[in-house]
Amino acid sequence: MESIDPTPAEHQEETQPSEDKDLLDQVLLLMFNDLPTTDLFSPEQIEKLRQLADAGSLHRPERVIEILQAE
Amino acid sequence: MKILELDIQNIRGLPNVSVPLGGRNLLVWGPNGSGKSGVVDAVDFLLSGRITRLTGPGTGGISLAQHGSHVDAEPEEAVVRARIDLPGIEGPIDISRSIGSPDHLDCPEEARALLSEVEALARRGQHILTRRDILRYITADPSSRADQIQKLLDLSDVENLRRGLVTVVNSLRTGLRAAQGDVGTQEERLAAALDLDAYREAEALRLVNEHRVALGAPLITELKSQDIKAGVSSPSPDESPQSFNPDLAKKDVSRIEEALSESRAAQVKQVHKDFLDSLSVIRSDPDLLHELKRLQLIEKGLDLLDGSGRCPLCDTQLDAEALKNHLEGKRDKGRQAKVYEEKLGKKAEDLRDFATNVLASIDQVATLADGLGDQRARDLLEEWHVKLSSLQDAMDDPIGVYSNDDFPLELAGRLWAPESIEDRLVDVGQAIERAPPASARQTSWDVLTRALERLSDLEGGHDGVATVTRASQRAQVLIDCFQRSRDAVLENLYSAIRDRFVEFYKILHDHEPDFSASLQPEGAGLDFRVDFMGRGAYSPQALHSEGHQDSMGLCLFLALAERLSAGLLGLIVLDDVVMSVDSEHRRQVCRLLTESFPDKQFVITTHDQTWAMQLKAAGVVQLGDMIHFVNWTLQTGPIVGQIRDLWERIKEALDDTDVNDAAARLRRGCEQYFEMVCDSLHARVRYNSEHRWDLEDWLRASLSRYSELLKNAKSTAQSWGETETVESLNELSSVKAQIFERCQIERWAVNPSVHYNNWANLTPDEFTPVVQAFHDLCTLFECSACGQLIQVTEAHGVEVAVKCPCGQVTWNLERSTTTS
Repeated sequence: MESIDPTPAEHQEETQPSEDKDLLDQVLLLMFNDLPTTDLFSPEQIEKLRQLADAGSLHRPERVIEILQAE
Repeated sequence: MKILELDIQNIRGLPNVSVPLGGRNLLVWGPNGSGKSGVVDAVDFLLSGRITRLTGPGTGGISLAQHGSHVDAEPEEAVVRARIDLPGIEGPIDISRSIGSPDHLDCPEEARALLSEVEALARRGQHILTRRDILRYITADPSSRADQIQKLLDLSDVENLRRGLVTVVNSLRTGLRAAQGDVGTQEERLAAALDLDAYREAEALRLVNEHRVALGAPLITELKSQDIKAGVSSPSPDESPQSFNPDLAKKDVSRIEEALSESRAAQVKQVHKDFLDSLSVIRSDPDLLHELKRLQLIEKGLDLLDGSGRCPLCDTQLDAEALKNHLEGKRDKGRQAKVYEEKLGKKAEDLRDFATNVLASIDQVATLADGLGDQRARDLLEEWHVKLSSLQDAMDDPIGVYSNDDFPLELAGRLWAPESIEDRLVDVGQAIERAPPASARQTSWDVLTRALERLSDLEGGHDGVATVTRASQRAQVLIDCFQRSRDAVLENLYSAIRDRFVEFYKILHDHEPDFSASLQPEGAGLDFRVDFMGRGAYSPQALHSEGHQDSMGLCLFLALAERLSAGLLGLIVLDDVVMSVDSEHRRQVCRLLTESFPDKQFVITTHDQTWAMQLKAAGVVQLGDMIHFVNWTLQTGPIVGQIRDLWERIKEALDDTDVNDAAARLRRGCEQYFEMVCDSLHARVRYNSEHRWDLEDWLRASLSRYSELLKNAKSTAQSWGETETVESLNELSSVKAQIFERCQIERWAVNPSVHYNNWANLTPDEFTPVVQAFHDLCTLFECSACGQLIQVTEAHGVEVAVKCPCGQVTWNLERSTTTS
């Protein structure tokens, strides 16, 4: 089992886009701050999506679908 | 990144040009056709590996490989080299790129990663502004402006991710439809197991309970696979002496025979024919399919029409009536296509049902034939099973997948069954007849066994639908959330760019302190409005002059470039961008460049001499960093005049005993130099209607004016009783007189040994003193501290002083009004 960080608190503190960050990074920061507000996603799914984004692979549909279909 | 030295070999119209920039701003000026843009192209090519001017609309048939190099040079001979300063790398480094290998930047390995970032910025166009770009920013329609700005902002990563997430949403929707289709098939299979003509849950439950009662089990209230055989007692082995149930096997064979019957054949043929008719109509008209795919979009677009003629999708301004008619035509065609698609879908569903109804029985009888040792029957039935399974798949996407070759028209009546299958079924049927009948309990047990297996599949299908449904909902939330976040980030970004744009614009137009602007996404476009004299916000081209529009384009570009280049690409090329800006506002442009961008290196080209002089006077470029292109020829390119290295080049020519070259350089250099002196000192040059002046004209006016100003300065100093200043100016007069004498100024026009037209006939020894004399003459007009030209300054139209930019040279021209 991969280690999961269920508290996105540090992300909540970073919701203001920084000028130094790439546009995509800013967008993802906001998006991952919003996602936990819906109960459709489990913390594990959000963490896996975040890891996929960190790896620069969130644009790969097959990887995203695999995560979204996991229960 | 800043350029210290630039060497251009065989790029466009420049066979050989070297420019020592030293990281400072550079001005390239000269008439049209003198090769100025070649410098822009060379810098563009060096940084990006392409020449932007050779790309885009209207450049069809033009390529970098064929048109990037000088017309007489091979691509490998076309090279741009530069010595640069790069943040993060110690000391200057040398880089180069050849048209022969445009994708390869030759550079030290330790700098490659940083230079890759510079290349990425340059490929987005962050380093060059041309008048064509200004039009794209300012006068373009919102969608073109959005394209241009988003390209500069490099939203490609954001857009790629959006597309990826849209693909996720669409894939899951398609997956959901497929999963729902599978559930339909599984229901049909369960219905067949219970000998029902179609699946109905209550009826299926009733039949299951009948068989359960026959096996001594209680009734169940819900149809669940785990309950179907719960509590039932299995029949004893002697109740069914063979491995199959003859009663169920007969029904399976009977179901297959029915599928091959004449009455069913007529139905299948008719359905198949209708299917092919609809498919043919859709496939024969590509527009129909195209409009079908866009029908929803077109209908939405029609709903959004507001009568203004603005396209609701791309914001392009069109004729309102024509746009409406255009969309209605597409909608009607799309609706027509929709009718065909629905007909096709219905027939595809019917064909799918024909296959589904018989597939389970084919499977059962194939297994039975295998058990009976009838390999031929088993092989034919399995072949048929594969064919009908592929028919089911084709019916999921008939327009894209279905092929007449796979499902010939003439075999439709047989439901594409292999030849002689009927004979094998007869053999299998006879074997079943020979088998002793199964007991009722055994039959109930076998029915429940089949029902259990198929209900289990159906439950799996329902689970699959639930899983894909949830995934589909998550995907929708994900993309909604992504798009909200993207919009918030872009809004923030556009606000910051707008604020900076307004700040820059106010510097250029300081009489408009209340100027404001808005820059915000509107659909796919980017709406840009600016205040007009406090009377409201309008599109830039609505009321503002061309000059104002050009200055807006410049300000918007600088606001974007400043924000995005992040210090890595400190170079900005401005290619003839102030053509429509008037003289007063050009001064403010100079102020903007020097005050707001002190750390940037500008390469500025212009054909406008006045603008060139303003840039020099304002200190945007130094005297030595102005290069003048004239007399371009195909073989030699332009003659390049640059004061900074003029004397060095002349010395090199004399060292090579090439007096002709030295003389030409001295003449061109001095013409350029004394023209600037005339401008700085407000000298009066003898007018001629051809507007062509030579060294004699510039020199005569410069010397005369210098003498006049010096005399006025002395007189002024005397009026103030400033004896030290008077002495200093007297000393300067003396130096001037000596230099004038040395240049034989008094007689230069009549003395053939120094007349510039005859310089080329002199020997190096004879010419060297002439060069030295002119060199010393030039120093009279420059400050020894800052190296810049001295210039007349005015207040309210009255000459008040002669000064240099650093202030070391200051001749007061305002006399004292008191009498001593």
